[in-house]
Amino acid sequence: MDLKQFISSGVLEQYVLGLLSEKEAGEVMNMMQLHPEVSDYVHKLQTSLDTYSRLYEVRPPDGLKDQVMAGIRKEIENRSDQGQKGQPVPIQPPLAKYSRLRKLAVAAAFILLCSIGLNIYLSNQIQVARAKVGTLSTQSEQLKAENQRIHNQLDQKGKALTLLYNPDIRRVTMNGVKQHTDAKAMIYWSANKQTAFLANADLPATPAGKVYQLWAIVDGKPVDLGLFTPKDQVNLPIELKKIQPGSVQAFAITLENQGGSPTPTMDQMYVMGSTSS
Amino acid sequence: MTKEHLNNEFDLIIALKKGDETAYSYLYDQYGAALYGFIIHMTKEQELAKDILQEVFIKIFQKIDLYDPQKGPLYAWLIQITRNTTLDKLRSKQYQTNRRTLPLEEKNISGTLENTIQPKLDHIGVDKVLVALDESHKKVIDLAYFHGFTQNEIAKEMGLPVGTVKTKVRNALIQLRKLLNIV
Repeated sequence: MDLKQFISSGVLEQYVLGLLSEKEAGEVMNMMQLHPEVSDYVHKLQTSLDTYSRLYEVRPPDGLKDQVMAGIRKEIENRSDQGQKGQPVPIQPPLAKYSRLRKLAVAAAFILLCSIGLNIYLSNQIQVARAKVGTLSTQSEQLKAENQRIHNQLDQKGKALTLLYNPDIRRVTMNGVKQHTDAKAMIYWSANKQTAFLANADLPATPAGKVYQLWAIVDGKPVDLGLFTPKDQVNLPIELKKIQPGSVQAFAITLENQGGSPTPTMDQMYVMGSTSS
Repeated sequence: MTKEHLNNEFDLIIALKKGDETAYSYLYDQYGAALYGFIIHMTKEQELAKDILQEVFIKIFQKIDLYDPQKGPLYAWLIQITRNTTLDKLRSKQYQTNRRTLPLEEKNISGTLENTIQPKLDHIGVDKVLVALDESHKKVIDLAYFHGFTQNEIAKEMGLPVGTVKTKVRNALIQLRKLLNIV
């Protein structure tokens, strides 16, 4: 019978399912040792069955592990007791023949060399694995951070959308004043609820010790709405301080000292937008 | 199977042979659910399955020195011990006289247990595998693999000639392998 016929005869399937007699199983094992194709095929069948049985996995009841481990500990104790009491003292081999000793020494040296080689190999493997773990955990951290960032972004976009869909909300564009024509910002504003949100701010970086301050002009007077630095950009839209009752005429942003100012510094105004436009 | 997996298994086997307690704890974590599920599938009885799983681990401890990695993967060996231990238990006279019905009979499956023996490895498409596997193929595999039936016993159980059983065994495994996508 050629190899192909042997493999497709069905006897290997019977073998992995334990359906062969001991003698027949022995023959299969022989064939496996002689022919990699056969052992390869058998291993695939074996893997199929193993995977199949894993479909039936059931989590054992809580506490069963403790019982199992108690049994194992008992076995370990038994074994070490036996080792101490029962084992006879090893008999010294007769020193009759030097040649035998020499053979032993050569064998020992050989085994030692093999062991050193294996150690080096295994230690390399560990190094490789460790490096991989390192890279993977860095990657995982990066992904986490990225995920968090996208999450935040999505949150902010969600807030912005809610504001946009709110019929009560008006948009007020603040354009750059003379010295800062590039600057621009946008306020979402609800006159009924006296709330305002800074939705967008395209402002130059602040010098050290400085901060932007938002203002509403209510009944002709500036009212503080809070502070803003360009690094808050990612958190937009930001809800501003509640606006006091009255007629809101305009919104503006000025550059002030850290901590803000009770009144706006007029020559440091960057953007302004009227509510009537 | 990855190289690292093989290295891990190699380390595990060495530690098991040394009688390292943590290795057995790890073994339980890795294979406990599979072996327990296997026993449950054979016995359909939770209390009995708990006893058997304990016995299985003791046997693993006592026999691990006989395990030769060249003859097959560890898992296959663990399953073999589990099957034999469970069969011994089910066939033991003491057990038979304590039971009115044979444990292998389907009617003995209790309602509550039924829920717990549902396969649960969703990610490889349990449904697909179990639904797609021909009923007679599934039966052949289960009788041989889980219950340790001989070909004659399978033939009798299924009311088929032995020759047909042999063909079914081959076709069943071919179909299973295809469904599990093991190439």
